[in-house]
Amino acid sequence: MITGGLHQIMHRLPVIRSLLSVGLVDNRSKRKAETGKDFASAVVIGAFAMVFMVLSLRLEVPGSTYTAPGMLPFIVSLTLFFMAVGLGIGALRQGSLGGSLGELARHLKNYAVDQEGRRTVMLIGMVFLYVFLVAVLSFDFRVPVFFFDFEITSYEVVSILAIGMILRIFWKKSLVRCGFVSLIMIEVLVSVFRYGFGMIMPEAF
Amino acid sequence: MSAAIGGQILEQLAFIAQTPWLWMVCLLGVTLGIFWGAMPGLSTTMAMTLLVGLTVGMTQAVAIMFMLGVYTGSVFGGAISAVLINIPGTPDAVPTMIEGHALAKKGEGGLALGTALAASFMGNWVGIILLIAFIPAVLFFALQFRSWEMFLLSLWGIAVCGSMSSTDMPIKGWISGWIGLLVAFIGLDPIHGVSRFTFGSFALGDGINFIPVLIGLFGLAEILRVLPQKSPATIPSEVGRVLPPIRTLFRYARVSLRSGLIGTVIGAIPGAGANIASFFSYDVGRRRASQKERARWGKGSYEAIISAEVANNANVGGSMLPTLALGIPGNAAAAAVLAALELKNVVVGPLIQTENPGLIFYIYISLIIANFFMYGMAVLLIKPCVKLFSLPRTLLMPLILPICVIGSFAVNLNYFDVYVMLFSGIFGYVLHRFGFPLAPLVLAVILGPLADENLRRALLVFEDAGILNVLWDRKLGTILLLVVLYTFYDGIFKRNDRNSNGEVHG
Repeated sequence: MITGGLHQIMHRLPVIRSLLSVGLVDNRSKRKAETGKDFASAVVIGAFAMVFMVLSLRLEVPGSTYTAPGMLPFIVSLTLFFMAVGLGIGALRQGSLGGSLGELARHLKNYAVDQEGRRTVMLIGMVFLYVFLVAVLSFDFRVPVFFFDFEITSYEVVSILAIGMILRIFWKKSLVRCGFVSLIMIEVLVSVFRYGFGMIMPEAF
Repeated sequence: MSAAIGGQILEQLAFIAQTPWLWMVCLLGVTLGIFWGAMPGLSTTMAMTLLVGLTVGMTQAVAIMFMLGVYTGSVFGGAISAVLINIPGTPDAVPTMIEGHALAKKGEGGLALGTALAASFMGNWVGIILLIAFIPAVLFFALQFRSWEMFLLSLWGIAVCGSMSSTDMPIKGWISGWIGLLVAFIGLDPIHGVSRFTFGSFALGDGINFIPVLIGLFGLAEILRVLPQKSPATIPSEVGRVLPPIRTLFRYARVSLRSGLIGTVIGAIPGAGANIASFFSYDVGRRRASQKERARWGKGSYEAIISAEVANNANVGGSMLPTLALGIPGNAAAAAVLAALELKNVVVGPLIQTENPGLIFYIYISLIIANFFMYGMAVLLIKPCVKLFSLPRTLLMPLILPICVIGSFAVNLNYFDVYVMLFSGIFGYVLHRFGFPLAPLVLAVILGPLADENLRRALLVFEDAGILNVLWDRKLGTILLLVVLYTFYDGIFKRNDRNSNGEVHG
């Protein structure tokens, strides 16, 4: 009776359900999802290998066939295709395809709604934005400090802001503390590379 | 050993002993190398190529001492971030990462690093001793590796890495490696200059550099994996014992000698770097280990760390062999040493001993001194490193992100590489979620161009005589071919048998 009650509660609470599907509790469901993952990977990799096979065959052949630029890529794509077939057959042997793919779909759905999945998507977005801003912004200030000009560039400004924000969200300390850690870290890093090793920072482009 | 050679060695020893400045420069190089290697994504090659510029104002002796210090330090440094935060500083530290991080999570990070250090120290010694004692023999063997053998060696490296990093399902490791090979083919082909898979993009014409791929797959993918977790696991801050007991080291003497031999011989083969050496030795180590020890492989085995670390450090000495004796660098980092030597007007090659008498011994002695300094500095640095990397992951991981951007940009000073790193990171994250290992992909991106060029060159040579003649004419190649086929056979059939008997569970 207690078990039945717990079961009902679990099915009503999406967080607990997502924990179940992540595989902390139900190993069978996890195994099914793994089989689904293997089958889905096999299909994607098989298609990818076929595209590369066609692309390899379409490459020009300036000399003999043995030195053709597409020869090894074709062999690699062909063997990759066979490996994908092997992976797919292995997955099919493990269990019923419909059930496994259904479990995988449930897995992916849960991933999209659970906290970790959302945080991952948000982090990817922030990293994208950071890399994009470093690429498009280009400015620098020079501050005279004793005998040399201390340089502050767009790379540092963007990095301090981006890393400060990421720290604020994931480290969860105060904005001032995150900003301060980010500022110190980026300035030390950039100074060592720029003045110590004479490296050019990404802001130059 | 003739009296003249003995005299030259004594002369070099006396010169180094009387010049304390050289010792200081070596210490500086080693320290810089350790720090550089310890930074996630900053490789030995990058350290060497960037720091070679600093040697312009130095004398020949100082420049060599400095560069060899950096070389030795950065090879070990790669193990620090590999063990403590699961991000290898260098590609050859991947096996150390697999084993060492598992130990670090159990609170044995200090001892795992200490073992890696002792193994690095032993590896350097084995490499140096073999280098001095067997130059002609090792060089003769290394020079038997022509195009056909180089192709097979590259293929074998990827196959071994694939089956080692995915013990339950080697096919997933091989798929990962094969995807890496296709990535490596992007760009201008090395023989005819035909654009392959560039889709008209100018940026892709130069191909995909392996360093941004490495940083993306291991650096960014790790950030994406760890940071969003509700409570990411950190390694315990208690360091505990760092250096392994002497009797433990004696127990692994045979493993060290075998791995050292593998590292030196592979290092002596031009083009085959520490990556192949560490994975090959790791694989041989697993096969030769006792059943009890083999069960620990992949979950935190000290013997596995020793196998990989001894081999990649012995590779330093080995890679110096073709660099000095033939003027052909053993790997990319050795090419930077070559550049530093050429900057100082040293003609490297068969005439090195005639034109620069004693220089070769100066290099050996420098390697020995750098090895001692590496040991001393690393002992001092292990405890602070464990403390530093035991900081909360939510604080540590975001701070690695700008290093990933700088590291990938610095390779060619091209922002396209940063996009490659970004794409690789996201791709690596997806691959990881789907249970594919990442190490074979990186290794294949490194070895792909080598495999492609050498296969086509070998086929070109044997085109007129008949392609199948390659099997009879190149006996070493045929043996290697059988070994490659056995690796696939072992992965497909024997591994399945072992799995069904419950012996291997990765």
